[in-house]
Amino acid sequence: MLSAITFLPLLGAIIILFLPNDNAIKRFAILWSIIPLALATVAWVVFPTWPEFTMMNGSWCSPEINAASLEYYLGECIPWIPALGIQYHVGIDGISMPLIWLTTLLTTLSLFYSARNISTRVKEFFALFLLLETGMLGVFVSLDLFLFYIFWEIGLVPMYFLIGIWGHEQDRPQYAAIKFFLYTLAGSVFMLLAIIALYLFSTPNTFDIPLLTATRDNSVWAKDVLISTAAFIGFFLAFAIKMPLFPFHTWLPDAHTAAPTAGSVVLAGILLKLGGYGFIRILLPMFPGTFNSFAIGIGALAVISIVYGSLVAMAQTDFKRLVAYSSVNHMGFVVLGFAAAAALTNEQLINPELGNYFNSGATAINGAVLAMFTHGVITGGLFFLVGMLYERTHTRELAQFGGFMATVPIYGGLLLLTAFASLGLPGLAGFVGEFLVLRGSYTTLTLLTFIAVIGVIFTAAYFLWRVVQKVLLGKADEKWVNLPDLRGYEVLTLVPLAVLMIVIGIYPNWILDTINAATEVILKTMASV
Amino acid sequence: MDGLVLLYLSPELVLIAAALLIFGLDLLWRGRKSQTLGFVALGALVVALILTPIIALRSAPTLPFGVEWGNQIALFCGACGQTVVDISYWSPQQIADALYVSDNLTNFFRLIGCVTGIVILLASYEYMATRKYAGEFYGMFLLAVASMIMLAGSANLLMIFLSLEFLSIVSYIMTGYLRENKLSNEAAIKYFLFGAIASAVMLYGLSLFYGATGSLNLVEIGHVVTTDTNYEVLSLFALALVMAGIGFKIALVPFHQWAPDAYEGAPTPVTAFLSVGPKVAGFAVLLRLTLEVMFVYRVDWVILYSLIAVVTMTLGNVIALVQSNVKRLLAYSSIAQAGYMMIGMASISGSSNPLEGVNAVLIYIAAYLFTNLGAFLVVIAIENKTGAVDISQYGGMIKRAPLLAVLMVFFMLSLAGIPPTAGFLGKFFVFGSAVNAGLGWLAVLGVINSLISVYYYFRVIRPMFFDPVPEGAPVITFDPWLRFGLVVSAIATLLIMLFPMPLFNLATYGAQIFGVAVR
Repeated sequence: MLSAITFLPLLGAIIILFLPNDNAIKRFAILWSIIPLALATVAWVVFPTWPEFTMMNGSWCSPEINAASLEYYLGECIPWIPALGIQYHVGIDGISMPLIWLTTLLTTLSLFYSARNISTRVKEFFALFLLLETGMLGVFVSLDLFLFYIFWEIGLVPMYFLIGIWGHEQDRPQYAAIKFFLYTLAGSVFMLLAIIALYLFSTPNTFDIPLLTATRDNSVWAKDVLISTAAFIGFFLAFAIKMPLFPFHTWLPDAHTAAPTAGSVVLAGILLKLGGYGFIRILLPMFPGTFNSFAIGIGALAVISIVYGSLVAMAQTDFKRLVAYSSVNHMGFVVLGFAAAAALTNEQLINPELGNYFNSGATAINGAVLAMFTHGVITGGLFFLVGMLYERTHTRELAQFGGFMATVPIYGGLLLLTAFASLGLPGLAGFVGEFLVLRGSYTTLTLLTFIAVIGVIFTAAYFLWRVVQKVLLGKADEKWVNLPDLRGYEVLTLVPLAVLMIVIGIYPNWILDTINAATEVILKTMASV
Repeated sequence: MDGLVLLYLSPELVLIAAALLIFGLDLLWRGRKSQTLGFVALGALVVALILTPIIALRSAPTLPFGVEWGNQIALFCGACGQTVVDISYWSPQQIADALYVSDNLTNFFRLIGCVTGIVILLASYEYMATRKYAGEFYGMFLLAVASMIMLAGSANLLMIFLSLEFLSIVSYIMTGYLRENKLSNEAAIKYFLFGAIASAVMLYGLSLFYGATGSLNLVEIGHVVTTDTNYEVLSLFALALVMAGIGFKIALVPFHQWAPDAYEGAPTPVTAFLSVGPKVAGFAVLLRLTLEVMFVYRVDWVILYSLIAVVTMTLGNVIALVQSNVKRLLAYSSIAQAGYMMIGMASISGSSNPLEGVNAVLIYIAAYLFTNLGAFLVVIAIENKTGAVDISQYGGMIKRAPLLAVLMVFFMLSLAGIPPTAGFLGKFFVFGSAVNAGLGWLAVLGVINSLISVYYYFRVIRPMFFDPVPEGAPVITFDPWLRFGLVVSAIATLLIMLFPMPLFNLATYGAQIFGVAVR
């Protein structure tokens, strides 16, 4: 099942290479991308029965690995490079499930939107996009570090071409593309060294994530402070650059601004989440001790990202750059949540008499993961909206806009909803995750939480002042009087996202339950007995 | 057994015999029918390729992959004639007399040599079709492949020197093959002058080994040097001098200066060969020398090799950044790639971990072979049609030749070490072996270098995809042989990554002959 979800897009990309004309390619790509979406939906719907689908069903791997991966579902495990103990090992839990579903959803919507907007080099675009989907999904399902790394890198190449070929000419797309590529690679090569170190200093020597986690407390890599610190930094660099966390964020505005609309949507919606996913899948369960000693520093970087991101966003004159910087701001909350959970000491995790620390850690992680999901939905929507506006006006200068609430009411309404969701209005999706993060981090990182709350005010400020006021309110310029409102396909692209924003805002439990099941497992593995 | 013993030399014999046949026929046919001679050469290489597993499997007639290759090795020597012995039952006398051995390391390099030869031959048919003296070229080429294999099988200082000279002289001639081309002539003379000096220095080093130990045989020298620590300084000095000769073949900094000019001036198929053949043969010698002679002084040569690795990859990568000629760019890139291989050499530690330096070097060589040849094949295909060897002339290649453009991306990714390519697997093993040998700092410098290299590899890709088609630029077509070679390289590059076990096993068998290394 997971292999099917992961590799179907790749198969689709190969089929597209043999399709004759552009219309056939577009139709095929959209329909084909619905299959993984449907499969992911099925997987999520049967979530309550997951315990029946534990590792044992699809495994040809060693009993130790099977025993270590009981908390992962829909697993498949086949020895791949036996000499190095590398397996093709995939499996998911409640944290990867929503992210996988989001990936398939955003890909389908992006392809649907792009079918009307991409007219040059259609074949390459749709093939690369599906290849990108395989790379992203692969990261979320991998349970072997070697496999994880390969998928992590596979996503880079299609994104490079998406930005470089279909980027907006005035934004220097080739520069942005290579900058994105080199920055991300700079982080991940150090992750590669960290992966090798974990393999060499673990007993038994393995790349398996569950097995490494299970044998953590008996392994040299975790006991030796030098090795664990170096490996932690290797992983952290890769994830922090991908997130991106201040001060590693400088590739992001260029790449987001230059990318075509669908590229920006997936870049912000999914690719940034790969970094956050790395925090929760690798850093927290495998390096609790090291992460604990860095927790305040990383929390501080997160808070700087929140405040700095919002202030810089406020200063932007370009609508798309503003949205790009808002990602820095929002991903700060995600890292803050993880840092708060990491700040819990071992004693606090295992001894309930010290206070309700376990729950506050769970709240922080749940909030962070939910914030990743909702940020994907909301910012995906925002980038669509920016793209749609650009298609009509051929400018992204905020100063030129105004009064669109009156001239294009459907567009205005959707932008208003998305902006409010993004700034964290209670009742909409953005609020829940960030509130939970702040609620959870208050216990351990009190001072940083206070500063982060100030960041929330700035976030509200730039959305209200720069987006709502500059774009939607005020007096419309003469030249925009005849601006056409959203067309059917555009509304159709945005509606699923808008529905998600409202539904999660009102009733987040359906998704939080899924996440929480995995969060508690991770918090328990963090504690060493 | 004695009659069969020639079987253990058959790949080299076939190649040399075919080369002589080609020279004879070429004389007879006065330079016509050179295409036929090309096919004769191809046939010889294929036969040699098929003979190799037959030799390897003689004592264990089972499938080549998954089960162990035979343990028998053949020794060729003056006094003892020829003998086939089991690897575990060497008598010291037999070893001391051996000039040439046919063991699993030799077999590994036979496979490498034959595959290199076949891929380059496929690419040179179209290139040679319009040029004179093609017959001689094919003959020379077979000799080059044969000498490269012989270098890998040499067990004796004298044989090493003879094979190295053999390979060098053939390479000089092939580099200067374009007689009316000034660049080609300059390249050949430069290559020759550098090569002659390097050989002299190396010979001096070899003579020091002989003078100190009274033996020409690697194992016996190793025995003397190991038991008597008085030889530490002398043998290290000798090793350093020998490194000059081998470093010249491999194009290690600071013996690399000939490479860019020779690569640029030589006919492109020859450039492709120069970037692979002499390099990997040099590593074969270096492996034998390091493991059989110098292993006991590991502390010292690790420093030497690490330093060479660092300067070689850094210099290669940094200078490649500013190249605009693709052949020169690939020349500097191949210098840098040799630097990564040197990381593997420095990481030889004799541990039983699969991430051992010997394995890493051998796997890296195989990965590099297909990748680099693939990249050169793309260059040849474009050059044949348009004469273009400059990056700026590669504009809009995705429209003009989609297959070439897509494959070039793939090969460049592989050279840069980005998955899912063979190059990534090679780098993974090399950096892994460095961490395993306690040389983490070397691995860190290695990954930083591969990061730098991404920039110039992508400089080649950029115009192919992002620039418009230049006006009047022709659509590029190429002959089926070249297409076949390209597809084979690309598939091999992918398969090595997806199913690395066969290659890993081959490398392990090769490494096993060094009792001191992986057991």
